Amino acid sequence: MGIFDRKDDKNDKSPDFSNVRGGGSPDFSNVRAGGSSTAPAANQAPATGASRTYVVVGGDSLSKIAKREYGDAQKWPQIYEANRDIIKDPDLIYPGQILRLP
Amino acid sequence: MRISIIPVLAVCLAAILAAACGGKDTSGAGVSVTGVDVGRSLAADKSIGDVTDSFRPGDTIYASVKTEGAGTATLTATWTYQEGQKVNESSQTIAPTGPARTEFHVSKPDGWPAGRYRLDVTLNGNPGGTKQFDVK
Repeated sequence: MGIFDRKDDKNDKSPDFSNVRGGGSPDFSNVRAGGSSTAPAANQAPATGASRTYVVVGGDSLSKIAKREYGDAQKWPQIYEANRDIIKDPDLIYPGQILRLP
Repeated sequence: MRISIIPVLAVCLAAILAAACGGKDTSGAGVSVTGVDVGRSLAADKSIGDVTDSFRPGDTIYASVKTEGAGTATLTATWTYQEGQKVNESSQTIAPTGPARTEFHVSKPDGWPAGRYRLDVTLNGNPGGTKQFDVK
């Protein structure tokens, strides 16, 4: 083979950068935060001891109750969160259950 | 020549009143931060159960801010990462009538990136305390 002949390509390999991962600042958008205090919150509304409740009847669902009470069925998670001690499964509520309405 | 002392007293009194009524927000003047701790758990009294400056990626990080005094005050916890990238900032406005503890906590579902973090606590916008900690 002459000295000017082209070399076999497989012997002339460029580095493979196809698996390089770009760096950057970490994403903290999913950080969850909370807090509480032993001191009362400022401008806290005094507790009146009164709260709205609803007694579940046959055919009810959290979304139906939310629709009836708040005019928006999508607010059912608020009822669920306020009654986590009573409702184990948001898809299962039973007649006679007394739910707190936030 | 006699110098009347009344105008002098009037000027001094005016100066004193001007200094006292500078328009500053004194609603939290009676509350002060006396301590800041960070750790992995919270006790019932909202103090830190296990104070540490080293955390694991999956930890929930708790901060307990101790205050003394009475009044209305806004505590703000600002968490930053490495060179100052903001992680989170949250505030609580409290109305203590004596010694109190206020806790802040942060968690990250996919784990904290390793590195150095900093917590700055302010009281009504004024520095209250700082803590640095690492995630390893």
